[in-house]
This record gives sequence, structure tokens and C-alpha cells, in this order.
Amino acid sequence: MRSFRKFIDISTHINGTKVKNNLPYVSSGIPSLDHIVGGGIPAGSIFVVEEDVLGVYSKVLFKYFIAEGVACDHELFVTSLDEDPHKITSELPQPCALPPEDEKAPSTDAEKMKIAWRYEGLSQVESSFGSNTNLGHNFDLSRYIDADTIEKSKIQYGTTTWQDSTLSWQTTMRRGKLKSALFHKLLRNIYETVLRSSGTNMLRLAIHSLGSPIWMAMDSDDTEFQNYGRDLIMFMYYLRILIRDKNVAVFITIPSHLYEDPIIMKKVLYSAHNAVRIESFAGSEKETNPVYKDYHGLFHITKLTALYTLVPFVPPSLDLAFKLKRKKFVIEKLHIPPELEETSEREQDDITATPSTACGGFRKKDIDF
Amino acid sequence: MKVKLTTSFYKRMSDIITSCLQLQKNISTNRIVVKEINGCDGSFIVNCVISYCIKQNSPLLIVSSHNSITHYHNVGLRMNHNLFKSCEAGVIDYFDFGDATLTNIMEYAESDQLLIDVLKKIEEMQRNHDTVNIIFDGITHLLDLQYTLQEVNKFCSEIIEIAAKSKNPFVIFHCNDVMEDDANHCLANLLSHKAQTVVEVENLSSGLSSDVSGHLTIKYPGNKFNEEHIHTVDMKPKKYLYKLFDRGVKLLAPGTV
Repeated sequence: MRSFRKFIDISTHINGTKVKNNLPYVSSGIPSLDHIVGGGIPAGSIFVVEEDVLGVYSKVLFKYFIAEGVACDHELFVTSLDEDPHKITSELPQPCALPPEDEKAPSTDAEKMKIAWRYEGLSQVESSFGSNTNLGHNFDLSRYIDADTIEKSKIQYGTTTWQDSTLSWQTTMRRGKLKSALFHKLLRNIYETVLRSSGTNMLRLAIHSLGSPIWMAMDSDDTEFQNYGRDLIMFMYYLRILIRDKNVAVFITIPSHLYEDPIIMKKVLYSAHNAVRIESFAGSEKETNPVYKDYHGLFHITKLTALYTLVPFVPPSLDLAFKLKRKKFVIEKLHIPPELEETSEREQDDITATPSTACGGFRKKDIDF
Repeated sequence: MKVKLTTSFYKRMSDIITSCLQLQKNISTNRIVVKEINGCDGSFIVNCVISYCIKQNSPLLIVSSHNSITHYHNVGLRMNHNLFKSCEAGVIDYFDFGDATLTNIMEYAESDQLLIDVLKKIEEMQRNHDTVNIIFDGITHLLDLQYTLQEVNKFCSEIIEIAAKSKNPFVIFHCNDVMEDDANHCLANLLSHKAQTVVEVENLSSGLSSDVSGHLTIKYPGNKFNEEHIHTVDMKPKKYLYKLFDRGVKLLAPGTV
């Protein structure tokens, strides 16, 4: 009788990783994010974060990813054109032994919710994820990793600068060639870094705000509108090819809300492996909506790919929201708060009908089977 | 009642895709197009076809620009076959199109030769085997690399033409259909026009489910000239729901979940 035996070479185990589907997975630094994307970021994959409008929360995720790399002693490559990457790394959250707890405001008896006697004995619904994970560290956002540790860590900074955006790499469009010198220089930087990396340690590539107006300056000068974003799409494809089957995890934030044409992002995501989108409530009408009063924004899972397996991960819920506390960033299952006041049925409909992804938000015709 | 899934059951699960693609029938140059709609991942079809070729000992050339061979190998291990061993045996051959393009750009070489290299590779394999089947994984990436629609379409026609020189081969083009008003969509339609069989895989529009992975629609535009369908004006496509397992795929009739 033939049978397959799972073969895992223990000698090649890398610090800060766990093996799943014969592939090392690294933590994003946020246990709840790791949980909803299937246990972390697999090696040889690209993780894309579609930024919120102000780019505040996506930067928090970006810092978590780098901080986790520093804590695990991974090799790091950090680049950004919109901000000084040294400044980003100087504000990395500090690892802590236990999950940081934010101080709760003392609740008065009047605020306490009355629970019907038959439900009183039931355990509380767990809406947060990843509390019992053994991959990755916990971080305290209120404290920064000291400069000495950052200096000693294996961080390499991208050498691309915004001055490169004025240079044209190719004078005419040619097959398979990047037109912008910015993208070409970054790709070459990454190519050399990947070649140099030992392979026995994990390399984390962190690119902040890729495809922001500075990156796209060359495309804006182009007379043909259809060429807008072509370098970004091509770069993402080359990056996918470059890092596949290697011990490299890529984390990229992209300001997708700036692109008028939805095709750009769809093509970018075709080359990415996993993708999420942050929808912040800041400045939107949802900020004052009572349904969302406990959260700072919605968290959308845009893409989940199955790498080295046929079956993609199915997250516990797609109705996700996030909140940024003083000490940590948490992603939770979105719960609509209990309706305590007496309202007419019409008003209630108006509140719950607003979010397209909220609990029970779909109609019968949308059901697939 | 919970049914225990045996190895033979999984074997049948992967066979169901290949029978839908009519690989068992001796069709002269069976042209198949796999369309990924709504960001769906249709690489499981490639895996099922690889599995079929290994079991049938039928020579296959994989031209890949999207997934790596290591991905297909690792999936294959769960499906009870070893892709690397088959490569060593010479049954399966591989052309890494993505890697070749990347090397070109890093070494400042021209990319024009690449498409010719693919055609040469097919001809080289044909010298050693009577039949050479071909899979082009991620053909729409050529458009991302600034090849024109005309060039890609001509290239696909040339692949079909060269493949036809061997005995009853099949050619599979795996493409991503992003949006209706895009070149990718035009390419997918152009290829579908040439195709014997068109397979459309689509994500569930209502979200993700642990019971069903997506929709699968199979059209047979090549069959409309067959005797049995000669009086049919509009052939109805076959529609299924599919569920992916570690070792294969299960097709379900709509409404049976």
C-alpha cells in the first residue's frame, strides 16, 4: 500500500515562522489580521493593503509588519517615497509579553445592560480573533522600539528618491520594460536584495504607499490616458515572479482610492496573493452612524489565494470592523449594537440598510445557492 | 450521515473536470479556454489536467506566467502525483515565461525573442513525442507586459497551429477576465471564439462559503457543428457549483447544496 508521509525538514525552520501546506508563514504583527487571512502571510507571497483615505490606519499596519520582523530578527527592506523610511522605523511599536489591555472607563450601574434571565448564564460572544495564536508577538503602540535595537536590526532602506520620478527610463514604450526609472530602480534594488539574502532567514519587503502620486508622476505626463498605471501593474507582476518560491514576504500599501479606473486595482490584485481594504470612517457620514459607534472603520478582505494548496482559506466572517486603541489595533467581527430605544420600523431599516457588507445586509436575489 | 472520502472518490473528483473538458475524446486539436471571472482562481483546472496527463502518460508542456511549478507540484502531491518526477521522466516539460521575462529586464535584453522561444520549445518537444499537449497559464499577463492584443492573438493562433502538427493534442489557455471594457476581456473572447470548450469560473457574488467555492459554467462552442447539435440554435451551457478539496474538485448541480 502506498501512502504519503508529510516531510518537514526541521533543520530549515526559520525563527518567527510556522509551516503550513509545506510553506513557512510569517505573522503580520497583528494576531487578529493573521487569523482572518488564514494564519499569517505565506513566504513567496504579496500582501496588499488598500489604504484608507488619510492613510493613517494602513501606516499602523505597515509599522506592525516591520516591528514583527525586528522582533523575529528577520531581514528587512523598507521603502517609501511619501515619508522618510527612517522616520517610520523610528516609531515602531514595542513588543510586549502579554496582549496590551487598554484601560476601561468605569461603568456605572445605570449603564449596565439588563440581560434576560435565560441568556444571563451564557458565555459572552467572542468577536475578536487570534487571541490564542502562537505565531508572532504582541505589541504596545504607546511605546516605541529604542533606536539602538533598530540600528542593530537587519533593516535595509530603499534608495529610490522622489527626484528619480522625473527621469524616464525608457523613452518609448517597449514590451516588458518599465517606463519609469522609479519602478525600475526599486525593482533592481529588490532583485539585488533577494539575491543577497541568505535564504535561511526570512526577508520582509515593506513598501509604503506604492502607486501614490509621486510614483505615478511619469504616467500623469503621458498623453495617452490608457497607459496610466501600466508601470505599477507591470512592477507588481515582476515582483510576483521575483519572490515566488523564496523565503520572502511582501507587504505593500497602495492608495487605491486615488485611481479613477477600477481596472488598475483589479490588475494589480491579480498579481497579489492576499489583499485587504481599509475603509476609515474619518470624514464620512458613517462616523456619526450609531451602528458603527464602537469602531473606527470597516475592514474588507479583497483577495485570498491558496498557495501550494487547492483550497483557499475561508475567513470566519466577512463583516469585519477595526478599532485603533491607545495600545493596539484590533480587527473584530462587526456587531450591530442592540436597539435599546423604541424607534419606528422605517427608521430601523434606514440604519441597517446603509452598509453593503453589514450583518444580514443582502437580499434574497443575491443568494447564490 | 457523514461519508468517509476514500482515495478512489478523490480520484473521481479530479476526473470529473477532465471529462467535462472532453480530454478523453479524440478531438483533433481540442482548444480549451479557462476564463477567470470576478477575480476567481481557476488554477485547479490546470492541476486536474496535469494529474490527468501524468496518469495517462500523455506528454504535456506547461508554459507558465502566473503560478510557479513548485505550486503545481505541491498541489499535485496531495492529488497523488509527483510533478517533478514526471518532469524528470520527460512526460511533462515546463517553460517559465515569467522568469524568462524578469531575467530579460534585469539583464537589459530584448523581450521579442521570448514568444519565439515558446514556439521553439513546443517544436522541440514534438520531436520526441507523437502528441504534445499544451497549457498556457496566465496568458493575459502578456497584455500587462505591453504586448498588443493583436500580437497575443496571433501568438495563440501560432501555438494552436504548431500543436495541430501532433496527434490529437489539447491546448489550454488560462486567462483572467478582469472587466468587460478591458483588453483582457477582448482576449478572452477572441480565444473563446477559437475554442472547442470554454470554462468560466466565477466567485460567489454573495461572499465566501465553506460549502461551495464558486460557479463553474461550461460551454461547447465547438460542438455546434456536430451532427447531434446541428438543429440546435442556441446550445445551453452546463452550469455547476464547485467545491474545492485538498485532493480534487467536486461538481454540484445548482440547488442541491
